[in-house]
Amino acid sequence: MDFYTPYSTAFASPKVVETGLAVFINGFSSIFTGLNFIVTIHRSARPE
Amino acid sequence: MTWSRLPLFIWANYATSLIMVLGTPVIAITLVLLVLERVFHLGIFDPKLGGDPLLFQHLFWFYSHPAVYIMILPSMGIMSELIACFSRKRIFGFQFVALSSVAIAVSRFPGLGAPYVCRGNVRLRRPDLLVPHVLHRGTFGD
Repeated sequence: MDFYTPYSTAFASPKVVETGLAVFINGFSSIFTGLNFIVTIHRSARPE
Repeated sequence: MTWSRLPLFIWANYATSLIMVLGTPVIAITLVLLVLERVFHLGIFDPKLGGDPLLFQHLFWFYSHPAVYIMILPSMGIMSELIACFSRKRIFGFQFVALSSVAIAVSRFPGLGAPYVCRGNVRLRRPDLLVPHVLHRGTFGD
């Protein structure tokens, strides 16, 4: 299993799409975690 | 609680979060493009369909190169807290450690040409890639 292009196109197993979507959802999880931390730290450091 | 009183672990997590927010969308978009190419046969990465295989590497490393700091920065924050706690001393150079955590996170992005340094002698021909990389390595020693 490899996302690098020659392996993910010509020589790939058929599960590239499923795995790609899984990592995509994981990516959103990371983005929202990061946003949550940034906002929380800003609000803790300088409360209203 | 002000910025100067935030614990170093929180500073490290703040720097980590910056990388996560800046880098992760790129890998997410890359995987969407990969799926679009496989399902609809759009020529994005596959040269047989008219795509550019190097484009995948550029997008992939935009996330994966700073990603090592997602892993190491919280550990550095934990070590700063643990050592200060068990040696019963205040941490030395608090402001320096806090700001350098953020500097590590931010300065990693201009050094993104580094993965290509390994492939051939790109380093010699691309000072725009080499200089930020060397500055980062020289400053943070990794």
